[in-house]
Amino acid sequence: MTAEPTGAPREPRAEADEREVSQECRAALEHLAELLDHAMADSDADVLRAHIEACDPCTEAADAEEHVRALIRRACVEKAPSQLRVRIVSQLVVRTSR
Amino acid sequence: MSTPEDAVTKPREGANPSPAVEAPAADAPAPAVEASDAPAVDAQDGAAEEVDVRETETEAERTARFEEGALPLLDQLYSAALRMTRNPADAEDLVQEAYAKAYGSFQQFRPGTNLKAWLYRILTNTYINSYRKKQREPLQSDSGDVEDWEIARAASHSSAGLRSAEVEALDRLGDSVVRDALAELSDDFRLVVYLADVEGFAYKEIAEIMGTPIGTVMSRLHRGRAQLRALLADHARELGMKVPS
Repeated sequence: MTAEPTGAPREPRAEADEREVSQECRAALEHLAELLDHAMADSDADVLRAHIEACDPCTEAADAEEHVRALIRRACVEKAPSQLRVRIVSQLVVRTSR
Repeated sequence: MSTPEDAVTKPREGANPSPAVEAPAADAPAPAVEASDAPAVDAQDGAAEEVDVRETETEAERTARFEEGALPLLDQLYSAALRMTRNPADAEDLVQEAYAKAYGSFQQFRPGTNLKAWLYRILTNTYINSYRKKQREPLQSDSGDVEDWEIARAASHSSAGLRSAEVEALDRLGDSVVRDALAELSDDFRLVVYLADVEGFAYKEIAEIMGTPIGTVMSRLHRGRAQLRALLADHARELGMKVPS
């Protein structure tokens, strides 16, 4: 687990989340995916990033989203069977020498 | 990794070479995805010469150019095919067919443009036309789960995705949980999420690969991601992880 905020009593996440969500946070979270997709205009992205950096819960949400994307990528890395490579290369050879 | 030299000497037993020698199938992308109209941003000065390559090269040279560009992407295309078909035998056949089509239409691919996106488009078309029909659709796109989940989290900092404790639980649970959750998504959602989250294609590229408007890509991506994260959160809890809720 990540470090506890100093001195903060441990409380259920949902409550902590709800209490802290502001309009700014709402906007940041709504556009987080777009930001991480590099799909925002630079100026908008700068504003969003500035908020996230200054806001602990938003930083945590952004980190979690980046982390889950990394997990998805990791889970999907496969190596093609060598037999498949063999078949593909040989079908090119067949065509070329036709 | 086997080398091409190894490869030539060992064609697959009993494999019928005919798919390879057929004319490019009708569903191979017509004048390449972004070949014809892609802005020649990074091609610039070299572009004219590179285009000439196609007019002057021998068939052997073209084959070599194809191998050099397309074969290094085999692992990636196979990984994508595995997510599409959700079974290794179909994934292999799909990739082989896609490579045959890609080679057959390689003259339409403009050198210097995005070969990876072009190959993904062929792979996707081949999947949609040849494989999708025989696959079971696991989860309906209009499942209510996501709405419920989104509403439950709408007011929280985890509304954009998973809580960090859940992600950590998933991290410990391992890759198969993530693969299973991905496999539960409907085809359209699964493909879009894969192309964005795993391959990192831009929305515009995904639109070109899938042949859909960019707005469709964005809404499918939004819903597909939400659905996947909802499934992942469920799995994390089901498997008894200490996830505060």
